Amino acid sequence: MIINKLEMYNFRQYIGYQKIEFSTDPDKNVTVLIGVNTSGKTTIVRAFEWCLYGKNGFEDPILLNSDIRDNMQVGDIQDVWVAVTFTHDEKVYTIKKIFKYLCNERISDGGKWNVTLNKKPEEILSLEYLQSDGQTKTPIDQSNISESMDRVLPKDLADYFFFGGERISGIANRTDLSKAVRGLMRLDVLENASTHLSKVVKSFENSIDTSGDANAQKAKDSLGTYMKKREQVVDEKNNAEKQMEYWKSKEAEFNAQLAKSNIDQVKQAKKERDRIESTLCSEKSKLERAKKDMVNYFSDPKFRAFAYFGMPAINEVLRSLDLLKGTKQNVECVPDMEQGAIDFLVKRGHCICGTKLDKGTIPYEKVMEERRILPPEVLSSAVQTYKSKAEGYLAGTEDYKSNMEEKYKDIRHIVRRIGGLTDDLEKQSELILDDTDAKKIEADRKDAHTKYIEAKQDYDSLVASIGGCDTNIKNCEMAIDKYAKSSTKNTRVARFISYSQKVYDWLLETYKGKEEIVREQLQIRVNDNFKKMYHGERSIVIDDKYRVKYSDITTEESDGLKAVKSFAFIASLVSMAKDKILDDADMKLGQVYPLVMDAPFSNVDEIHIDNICKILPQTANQVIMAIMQKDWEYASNNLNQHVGKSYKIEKDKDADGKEIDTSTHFR
Amino acid sequence: MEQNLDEKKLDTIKLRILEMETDNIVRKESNPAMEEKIKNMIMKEVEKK
Repeated sequence: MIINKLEMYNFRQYIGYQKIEFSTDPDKNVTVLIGVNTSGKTTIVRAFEWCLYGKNGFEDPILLNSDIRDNMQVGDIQDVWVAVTFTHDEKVYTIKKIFKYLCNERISDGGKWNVTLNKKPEEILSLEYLQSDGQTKTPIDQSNISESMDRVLPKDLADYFFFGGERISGIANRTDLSKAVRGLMRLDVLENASTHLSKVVKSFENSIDTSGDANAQKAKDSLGTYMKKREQVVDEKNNAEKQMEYWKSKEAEFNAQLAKSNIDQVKQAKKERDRIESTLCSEKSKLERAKKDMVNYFSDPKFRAFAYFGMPAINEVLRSLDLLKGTKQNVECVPDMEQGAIDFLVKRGHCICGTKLDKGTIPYEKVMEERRILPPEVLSSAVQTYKSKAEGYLAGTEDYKSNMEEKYKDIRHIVRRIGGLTDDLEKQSELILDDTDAKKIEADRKDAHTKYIEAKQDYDSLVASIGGCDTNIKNCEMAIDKYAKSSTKNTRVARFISYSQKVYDWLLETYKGKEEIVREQLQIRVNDNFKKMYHGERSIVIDDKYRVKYSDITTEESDGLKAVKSFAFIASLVSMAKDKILDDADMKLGQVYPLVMDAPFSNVDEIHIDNICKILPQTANQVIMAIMQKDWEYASNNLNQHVGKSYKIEKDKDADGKEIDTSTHFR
Repeated sequence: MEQNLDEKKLDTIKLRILEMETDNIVRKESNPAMEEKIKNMIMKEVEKK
């Protein structure tokens, strides 16, 4: 979506008919609207929101210009409208929204007229597009307008493209940005498809007739139970996750309060404790990895733990076999063959090679000769086969024990280090507790930390329970599928399951692949943009909910820093959509988005304005900015070269040269 | 489950699901309604001669 034009008629302070054309030139993609405070900058963003999505963000919901309203007589009707012309998928559309206000009452109140308008003005909404001849206008059916607009720029995501300075600070700190990111990158299509298809597979599985097979029936019953249990555990896990987030943020809040302390000792101790906590955190991760490594060394078949643990018994057997007297142990024979195989060939009458095995012939004598040295009658062959197999089995397991011991030593070493660091942490806490004010905050922080750990333990155990449920569900499904495949009455359903399961696997894999690209690219781009916008050194990570976090410290952020972070986030998101990073031969997911901002730099200092202005025109396809004169002075240094159109928003003046609040025009 | 699946049918089902889900981003039909639609589509495509 690229916005070509905004037209307004008697919309708030914009009296009469007014029009702004925006720059659509890709090289000069910025349009600036410069105005002082209260001139009507915010009204521009709100005009877009009202016209496109019906959102009315004004405290006084009457949209009609107040001068026009004051002059209305009872029964008079006045229109207020906004029209937005935009280009989407190479078609030019115009959406127009009209409110028809009716004057119900006009009462004189001490020389002033109080005019009452109808509370629910008649609304007329139209959307039309220009045919390729550039003349013919085709209207879109009234019932499809809202759906059509959602296709162009979904209402849920509009917040990321039409926003004011006060709103931008909060964007990157929202609790869950996953929905917005997935929506903007169109990953929601794949995600919804997998969710729906997984239910479809289950529904097909449910329709398998298992009557007559006790095992399949049992698996079907258990499947229902496990699925219900899984849903319940997922709910509990989500609650535990919320608790974790809550207590983590509380701990960060108390930490930030301690950082503000005026007492040097508290400051110092807090700093030292932060350092120890960071080391402790890394040691705990190391411990987790070492434990996983040890479990893996035990359970992964390639490390042959089973052979090591079987070694004493096998060696004992080998020793016993050596003791057998009178056994010719070195008789060579065909490995893994027993007398039964020769008996079978003789009975069949011909060898594997096709030679006839008639009694008395040479081939017959030869195979019978071989038979005499084969097990079970010739024990030596059996012993030989056993020995060679056992030796092969044991090969490479000699150092299993020492390797395992090394791993255990590592774990003990890390546990000791964690113990030491925990003690150090406690000492630093004691130093903080010496100060009376800080004492309470530190106690609260510790309490929040303990509650966080408790919630995390719950969370981890619930995640493990979900894994257990998944395994059980998978086993039941396999049992049902196996039955369906073998039973003729279920052949049709079995085919549906096969197709839907295959498509489901493909969807999951595609989604995961694309989601990984988005996460990776977002992290790279946000870091890159943040580095260019922010003068300090800070590294940024994108968490599992796409929230932007600093990887190094967790101190309190100023509004300015929050705004810079949000700009970096939005610029990165928009640039990813613009660069169509997920497009391939099968899927076209890239989109074109405008950025419409009101006083975007109200919380940002001049250095950051400068930096942000270098990035924005390059990342978005179109930038429309209503900006204060004082901010424009800084922004223009870098933005001027990208400005395609520029307007001044000015209040009209009366005969005495005084500004009129209710009458504004673009110049 | 079954290995001998018709690749053409698989591709058609994939494409149809993506089309239906893209449409539903704005239509916002309920989950059960979408599941039913997808289920019927799969049955129809699989049984198509």
